[in-house]
Amino acid sequence: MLDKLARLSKSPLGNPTRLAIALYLLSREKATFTSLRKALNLTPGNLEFHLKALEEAGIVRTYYGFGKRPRKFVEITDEGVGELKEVLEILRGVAGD
Amino acid sequence: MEELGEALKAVEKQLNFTRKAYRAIVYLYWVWAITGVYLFAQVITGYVGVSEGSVLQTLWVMAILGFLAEEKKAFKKVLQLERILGKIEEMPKGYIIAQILVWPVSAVIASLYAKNNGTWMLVFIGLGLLLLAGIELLFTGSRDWRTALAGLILLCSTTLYTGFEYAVMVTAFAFSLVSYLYLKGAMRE
Repeated sequence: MLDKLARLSKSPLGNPTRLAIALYLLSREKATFTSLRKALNLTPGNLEFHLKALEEAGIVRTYYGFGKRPRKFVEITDEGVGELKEVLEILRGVAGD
Repeated sequence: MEELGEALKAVEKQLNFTRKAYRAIVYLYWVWAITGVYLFAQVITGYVGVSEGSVLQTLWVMAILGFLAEEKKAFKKVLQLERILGKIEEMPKGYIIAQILVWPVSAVIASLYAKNNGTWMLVFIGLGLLLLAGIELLFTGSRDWRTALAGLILLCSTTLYTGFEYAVMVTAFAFSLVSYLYLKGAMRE
């Protein structure tokens, strides 16, 4: 149990907001910065902070797309899916203990 | 702990629904694309006076290119979701190659047995779907009976073939039925 919790605390997805971001992105091809912010009820600065941490850990990828105005898109990476799978397994284990 | 367990179950349920919706979208694409190609070809040949054959050919190419782009995105998402849900641990070797090979094999067999464009389409898609369901069973162990059902409907319908319009209608029917079954199944879970 302690091992699992230690692994969870070290994971980039150990934070509930970051875990919610990864789960939101998993169900979608991509999300705009604004839709993600509204869905998770975060301030732009707060979301930017978490996305930066997730991008540095290779969990998500952000890029700009052009339409009527430039929009920032976010998507989960394959590495992010692997990490999310591990975190969910740990949480399942914790819930089962 | 109990709350965490409940929350995880809810997440899993949601992800499973999304997985099935992504599977259904591929069929829904062809429901509008096949009927759209046929309808658009009728409009263009009727009002512009271009030959139906060349219009159909161009529209089919456009529809297939659109499908490949759509399928690439949907397939990637389904694999990601299946990894998370523990349905696939690792991509089985040859799985994608087998899925791609299904279509040229179906095309060759359809060319051998079909007498016209309509029956060729029914045999090509029907056989392709049956083979896809077989590959799914072989590589991942999952019984994709919905896809197999669509394949059977298309193959059986060749005996009552009346014209290309009939082939378009049967294909749209089979595909819309499969997407309905996917979504219905996902909602029931």
